[in-house]
This record gives sequence, structure tokens and C-alpha cells, in this order.
Amino acid sequence: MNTSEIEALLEKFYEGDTSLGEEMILRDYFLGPDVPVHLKPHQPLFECYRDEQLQELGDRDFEHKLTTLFATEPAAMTPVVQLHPARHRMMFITGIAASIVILVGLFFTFQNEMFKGSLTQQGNAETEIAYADASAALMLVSGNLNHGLKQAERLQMVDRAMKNMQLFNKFYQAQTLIINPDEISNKSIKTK
Amino acid sequence: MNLQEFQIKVYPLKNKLFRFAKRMLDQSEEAEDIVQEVFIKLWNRRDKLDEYRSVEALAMITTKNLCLDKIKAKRYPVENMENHRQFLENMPDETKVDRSDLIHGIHQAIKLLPEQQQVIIHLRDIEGYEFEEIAEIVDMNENAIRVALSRARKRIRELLTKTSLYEYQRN
Repeated sequence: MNTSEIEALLEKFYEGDTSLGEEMILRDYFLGPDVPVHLKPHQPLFECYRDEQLQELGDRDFEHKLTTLFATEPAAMTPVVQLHPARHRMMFITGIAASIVILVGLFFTFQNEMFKGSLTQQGNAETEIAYADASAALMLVSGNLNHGLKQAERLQMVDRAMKNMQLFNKFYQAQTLIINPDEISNKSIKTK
Repeated sequence: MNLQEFQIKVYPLKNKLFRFAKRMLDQSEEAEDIVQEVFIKLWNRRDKLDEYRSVEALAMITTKNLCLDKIKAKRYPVENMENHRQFLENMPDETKVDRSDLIHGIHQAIKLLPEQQQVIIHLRDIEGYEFEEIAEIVDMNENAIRVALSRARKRIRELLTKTSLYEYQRN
């Protein structure tokens, strides 16, 4: 393959348009001995790729370990064997630590309450004072409220008076009946 | 799938899975742990493995997912573009660039790519997967993969052409 073809292929490569086959051609070319000077800059890339391709898992015993694990494992689909016993041990230890914290917490709570025993009587006196204050304040409020209600009762008297006023209305009707009986009788006929 | 079949079909994937896990975690020991975990997971599903079109793709996907879990759990520092730029700017200027330095530089440059581009360039240029297979593993469409691949390759070219200037001067 001549240089200009390689150049074109290289351009295509950087555009992400080469096929795997074309990439193999580039790889072989750049890992080969005949790379012209102006294309040399691209050589390390392919060398780097080759290096990475040669990387292998270091543990020589890897397969053997797995095979023993798989062979000893019961045939059923058991959950994954603990790969990280350290993590489980951590959870165990954390659990113990948490229970200790809870116990210590409980101890201190009850201890505080025992000390408080002597203080409660003093506390009762204070609450009684507070209770007295509060009920006094509430009495004041309710007294004023009753006072207000008495004022409101007077309105009912007005109401009663208004009912009496209606008698005047009847008197007025009777009066018109006497003065102008036709009008009233007409009206009563119409309503019938 | 019995143990013998498993040994024949799945065990040979170990280096590929290892390289992939190492690419994502940048840590050999953890990568080995991941491969072991993948194999155990596959073994636990051995009765269903024959139903998969490609056990290899399944293994690669499992590896990717386990690595992502690990990255999330650990909150690996995410390398960003700023690092990449700084890296390019810090490349030696007039002093001669040794060939092995340059290759090491490219390794570093790949590590500094965004995670997705790293994975794609790895699957294509190091493992030689078809776009269709990469699409299955990274769960992206082929066009998006081509674009990401091109970006990743061009960013590395940036580094190559920058350092190559001195080679010209020397020659």
C-alpha cells in the first residue's frame, strides 16, 4: 500500500470511519519498519495500542481458584459466595457498636431521670403557680365575655318592640278598610 | 452450561475483561476482583448462558456495570478537560521527546479522556470490536459511537502532532 493511500486511510481513521479491516492495515503498517518520516508522529499511537493489547490479568492462579470455588459450590443456584468477607465483618462489628451505643444511651436516660426525682417537687410548685396564673387570666377573659353578652341581650328588647310595632300595621289596615272598603275588597279578590 | 464448557467458553475472556475493568478503574487489583465477580455472576447464571446471543457481550456488559457501581461507590475523582489541556501544555517543549515517553504520554492522554470516550476507544482500538458489538456493550447507537470515537482519536492526535513538531526539527 502506498503512502498516499495510507494517508487517506489515516484521515478516515481519525474521523471514525474506518472498518476493522482497514484499521488492521494501518496497525500493521505503523508497526512495520517502513514508516516515512512525515507519518512517524502517528506511530506511537499504534505502539501504545499494541502494548495495551498485551496486558494480562496478573494472577496466575486465577482459573484454578475459580474452578475450586465452582466445584465445591452446591449444584443449586446459591447466591454468590462471600467474595469480600471483610465487608461482612465490618457490618457485624458496626452492629455490635450500634447496640453498645443504644445501651449506653438508655443507661444515661434512666440515670438522668433518677437524679431528677428530687427535683420534681420543686417543679410541681412551679407548675401550680403557672396553673393559677393561667386560670386567673382565663377567668378575666370569661368575665369580660359575659359582660359583653349582657349588652347583646338589649338587642333582643328591640326585637320584641318591633313585633309590637306590627300591631300598628294591623290597625292601619283596619283604618283603610273603614275609609276605603272597595280598594281592600278589590285587592282581596285579585289575590284570590 | 457445565464447568467444562464454562472453562472453555468463559475463562478465555479473562484478559479482555481485565483490560476493560482496568481501563475503567485504573487499578489492577480492583480490576482482578471485578473479573472474578463477573465470572461468579456468570457461573450463577450458567443454566441460562446458552440463551444469550453472545456470552462475551454479556460478560463485557456485566464488567462495565460492576465497574460503574464501584466508581459510584468510591467516587473516583472525575478527570476533566482542564486536566487534559494542562497535560498537553506541560509536554516538554524543546527537549527531545523520548519514544517511550511519548507512548507513556498516549496512555496518559487516553486516561484523561471522558469516561465514555475512553471506553469506546478501548473497545474499538484495543479490543477490536465491531461498532455493532460496542453499541450493545455501551448501550449507545452506532452513530454516536463513531462520533465519540472520532473525538477521542483526534484528541490524541492533538498530542501526537504537538510533540511531533520537535521530531521534525530534529530531523
